[in-house]
Amino acid sequence: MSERRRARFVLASASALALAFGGILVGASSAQAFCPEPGSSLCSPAALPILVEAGIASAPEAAGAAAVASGTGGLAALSAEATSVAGTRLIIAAGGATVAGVLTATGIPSGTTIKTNGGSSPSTDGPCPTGVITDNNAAAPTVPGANCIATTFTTHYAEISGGTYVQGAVLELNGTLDSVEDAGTYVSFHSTIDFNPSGSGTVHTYLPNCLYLDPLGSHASVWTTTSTASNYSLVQCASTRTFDGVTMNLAGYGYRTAWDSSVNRQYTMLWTPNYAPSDPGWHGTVRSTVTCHGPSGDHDVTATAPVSVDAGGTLPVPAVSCPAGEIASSATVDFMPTTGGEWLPLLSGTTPGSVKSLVETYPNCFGPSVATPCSLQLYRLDGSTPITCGHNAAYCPDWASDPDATTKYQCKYGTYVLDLDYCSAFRAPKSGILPNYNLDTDTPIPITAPVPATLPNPVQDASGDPVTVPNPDPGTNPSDCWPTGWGVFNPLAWVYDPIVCAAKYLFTPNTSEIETDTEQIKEAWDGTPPGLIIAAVAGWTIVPPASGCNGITFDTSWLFMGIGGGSHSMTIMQACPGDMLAPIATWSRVFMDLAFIVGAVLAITRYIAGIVAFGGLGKDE
Amino acid sequence: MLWNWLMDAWTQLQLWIVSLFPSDFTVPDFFVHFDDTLNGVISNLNGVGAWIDWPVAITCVTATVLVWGIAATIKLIRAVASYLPFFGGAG
Repeated sequence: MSERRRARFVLASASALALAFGGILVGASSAQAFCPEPGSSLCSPAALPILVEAGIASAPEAAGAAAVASGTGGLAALSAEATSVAGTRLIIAAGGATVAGVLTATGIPSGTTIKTNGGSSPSTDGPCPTGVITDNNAAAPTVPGANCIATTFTTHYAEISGGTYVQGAVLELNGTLDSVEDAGTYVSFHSTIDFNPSGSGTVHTYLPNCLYLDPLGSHASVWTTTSTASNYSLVQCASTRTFDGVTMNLAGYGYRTAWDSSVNRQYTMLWTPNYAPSDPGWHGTVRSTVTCHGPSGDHDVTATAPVSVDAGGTLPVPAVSCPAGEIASSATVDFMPTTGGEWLPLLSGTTPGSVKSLVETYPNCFGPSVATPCSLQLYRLDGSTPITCGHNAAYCPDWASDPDATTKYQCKYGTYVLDLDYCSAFRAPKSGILPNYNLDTDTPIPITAPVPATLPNPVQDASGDPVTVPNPDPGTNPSDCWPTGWGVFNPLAWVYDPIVCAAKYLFTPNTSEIETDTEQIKEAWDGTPPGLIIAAVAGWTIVPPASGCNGITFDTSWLFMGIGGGSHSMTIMQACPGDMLAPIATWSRVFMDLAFIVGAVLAITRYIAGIVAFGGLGKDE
Repeated sequence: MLWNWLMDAWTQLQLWIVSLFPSDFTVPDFFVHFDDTLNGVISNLNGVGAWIDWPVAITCVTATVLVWGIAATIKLIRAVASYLPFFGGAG
């Protein structure tokens, strides 16, 4: 039977039986399309661990769970912009300030880039500037050495325009950095400069800067001064050094110091990197290397790509990934200039041991022989057979708060039964996938852990695909339920809008819940006798009849009761060319064709005529 | 809300029906391989193809059944429509 015919037959059989059993056979839901393993609550490629989303940055539980790989010195001039980091996320901190995520559980994803800031090529840290900084309004000295960003400083200059100044005055500028681009944190800015006390208009001055982060990391102040005023202490920074790795496009204001505070004026500060003219840029080769860990051990996968970008450009990072069934245990990105030399490390990261050990802990889920990826699944133990809670556990909305959850539910990864806390990824079925593992404490997050108020958006599953989060119940937006704007003066709106709102709330189906219900019902039926019979029928292969002339052969061995041995058979109606019955068979075909055709014509005309109460051919009515 | 409630109720009903079935049922082996028996019968029918033109026979039977189904459907529609007030003529 051809594939098409077979499929048609299977479809027909399934359809017929589906009708018989109340339409239980509904098409595969989108959850099934999403999850390669039917019925899984969450699917992940074989190489991805059950530690799903351990590094969702915005989830409180994950804040400390993100693996931090120590950065390589001198990398503050770089920032990775891997915005789409899938799987168990590892956050790599470079230079203590630059946060980048480039390593997933499967490798370095495509699209990863490293942005180079202006300045020279990466080099080792210079010594932190030392000295005493004293706020003009605070007596407590701050020693910047301990919290300095360990980085290489290059020269910037500040341009102050749009304001006037008074000769001989000391101008104090306060501003707030919009952001530190690499770190994504806000930094407060406070600087004091002096300027050329002659002329007017635009003032250019080189700013010797120190940048340090306060212990909390939420704010940092920039102090700079070359003022000789007695109430300012000098910052002992080399006059040719300023910070790099921070884009200083600022908007601040300046005001005069205390003795002339009544004439404060607004200034706009424009900070522009002052690149060294001899900056060679980034011309050479970028190399990505990922070490893959599988049942057979570790091996490296490497990819290189030529690059040629100017300072401030973006370096493309070649994507590398481990084969299916393996976990990326570490990854590095390095660079070699065209002029040769050693590979300069740019980024590196390692997978936590708890993730790496999954290969040994769950051997059936890893390795090249694993055909079906393992997935994290939640089951309900109501009956004799566990029933899946559906995609994202949507069918068990209150399972995590059930005091008897440990006896009513079961968490599995592939065929392995896990501690129920591993399924804490589904503790907010209505909201999305949550972190389920704390890499700091190396323990699963309890199912009773609080749900983050703000979930990452879009939520990603371990494979990096967006997770379909069930929509909230429709029609619950209060703004849709009452007239607004000019509608408040329309009395009908006060009746019509609430009715429509209530109707939406009552009758608009939740698609995701329907899909979940359908999936659950289908799975439940699959294990029943009707479902098994349907599956058996679907497995039949029927060969359609064809024309032949060999007749019908009967096994007549039983007539001989074994006498003489061998097999005996008898053939009747054999009418191939040359056989005695062939002429008769030919006439038979003619008469049979006539009989079928005439019979069909009579029947068909009667059926058609019967529609209008006419008898058709051969009948008078 | 109401629709979801109905769906949940329908799901629970089906799950309850499912729970009534024995969980240790296995499909008999003869049924799993019943297609072999059917194919044996079909094979014998192939052998008499010199006597009966199977393509013509199948075409005629299929067409007859198809037309019967269409005619029956139209009749059913007519019967239902006849009960519509001011339209079907029965009321």
